[in-house]
Amino acid sequence: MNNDQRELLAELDDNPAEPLARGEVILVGSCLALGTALLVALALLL
Amino acid sequence: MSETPQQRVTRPHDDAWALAISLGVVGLALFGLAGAQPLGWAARFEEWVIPAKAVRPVAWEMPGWLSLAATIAAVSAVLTARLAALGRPLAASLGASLAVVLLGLGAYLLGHQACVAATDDRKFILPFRLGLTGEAGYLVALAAGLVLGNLFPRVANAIAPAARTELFIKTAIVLVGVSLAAKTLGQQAAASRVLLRGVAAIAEAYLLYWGLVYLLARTVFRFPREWSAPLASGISICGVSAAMATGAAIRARSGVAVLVSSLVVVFSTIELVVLPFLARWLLPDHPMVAAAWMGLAVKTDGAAVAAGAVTEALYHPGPGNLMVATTTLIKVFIDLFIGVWCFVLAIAWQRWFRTEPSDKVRWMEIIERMPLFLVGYFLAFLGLMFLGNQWPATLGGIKLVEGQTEAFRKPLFALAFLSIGMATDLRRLASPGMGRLVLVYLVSIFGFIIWMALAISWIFFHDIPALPVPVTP
Repeated sequence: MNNDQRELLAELDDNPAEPLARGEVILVGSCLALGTALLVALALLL
Repeated sequence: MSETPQQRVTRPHDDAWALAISLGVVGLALFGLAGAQPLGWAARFEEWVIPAKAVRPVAWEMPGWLSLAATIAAVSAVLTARLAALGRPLAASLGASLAVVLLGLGAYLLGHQACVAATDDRKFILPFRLGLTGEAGYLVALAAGLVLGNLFPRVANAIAPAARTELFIKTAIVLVGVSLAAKTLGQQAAASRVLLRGVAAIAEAYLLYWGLVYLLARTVFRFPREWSAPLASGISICGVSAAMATGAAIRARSGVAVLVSSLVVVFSTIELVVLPFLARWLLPDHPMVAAAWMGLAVKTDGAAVAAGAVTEALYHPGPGNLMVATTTLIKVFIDLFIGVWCFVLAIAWQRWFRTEPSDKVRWMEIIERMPLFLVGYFLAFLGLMFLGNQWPATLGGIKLVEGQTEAFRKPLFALAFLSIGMATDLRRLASPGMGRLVLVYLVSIFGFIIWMALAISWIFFHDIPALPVPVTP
């Protein structure tokens, strides 16, 4: 592990993450909704 | 986060080499269509008690030892040429290549020892029999790689340039394309079913895994976005290549994807050792569910396809089965989606999260991120399918083509296993600051990904036989 990587990990421990933004909620929500819909639809079709 | 040169879309060097080598092998093997076998000298490994009977050539009349020597020389020469083309000294390149090939093939040969491999009591008189088939050689190669990489790191570092998991596995995947075509020709129903179910299985697995891992990383483990996206892609999609491509797509600092990738390699090795045996225990009567499970659950192409090979060995459903082909197919489709998904992420990041002005996301990035070896896979698979369907008289020739390519596919898997072991740095898990990353990986993989993958595999593959059922007119 080089110094840059050590610094990245240290920064990760020091800086708290920002809360979920609206864009992330849309992205994750779309993934889960579309994934579930596809699973149900394809399982019924095939 | 400013863009660095490493973040531009670049195609890995091994990708082009894998395409060139595999197409070279397939090109030569294609003479089989005319009844000739220019690769008939290649070594075929057999179960053995007397070492002299461990190897025989694919087709030519020659001693087994000569066939083995020719195979070692040919594979070493190609690896040496690659290293020399990269500007490494010739002598060191030859030494490293020869060491990797000897270790990999030696381990594969050991795994064919009858006490380990034999599945039939009538063939040998043995004191005991593990019945793991010759594919046990892959596990011997993995163990050799782990010992070398973790206990003798200096030796491992010296030969590491020749131990390229991605090169070996991508070349082998193109050859699996030949094998899939040869196995399913004349049985289009079986081929279409596996193809269709494979696409269906990954379509939702991709979306569900990514969404859940991202959510977990951001909310429970409090990772910033720059870490969460490569983590979600690396853990949920396809390991190293997905983590790297995602890092580049969202313009994360290059060290982030590198750290995530180092964990992916360690955990995919653990999955590779554990999941095939778990599958055999949980699903004794459903080999195709097990094969699909390996493709959907084990990360990185190398470990996934390798896990498929071990799983096939544990079930040994017989020659002509579709198990490894199914695992490979699922992994190949997952790879196809990496470019598309990174394009979506790049647009999302540009629209919602990037504070500085940056370049426009280009459609061409989808093509640029798509692994090149996939071209070879589909060329081999679809080309032979077309040939066999249009001219059924070529079916015998296609079997000869497959016989020659299989002689290289299996040793390439062995080399991939050795390389995976060598690259698995178990000390990385204990590095300071890695705790939270290790934890999110553990919770995601063993908490829900492998179980969701099992459920999806069951839904789509529980009614498909491992051996295609011949269609009677």
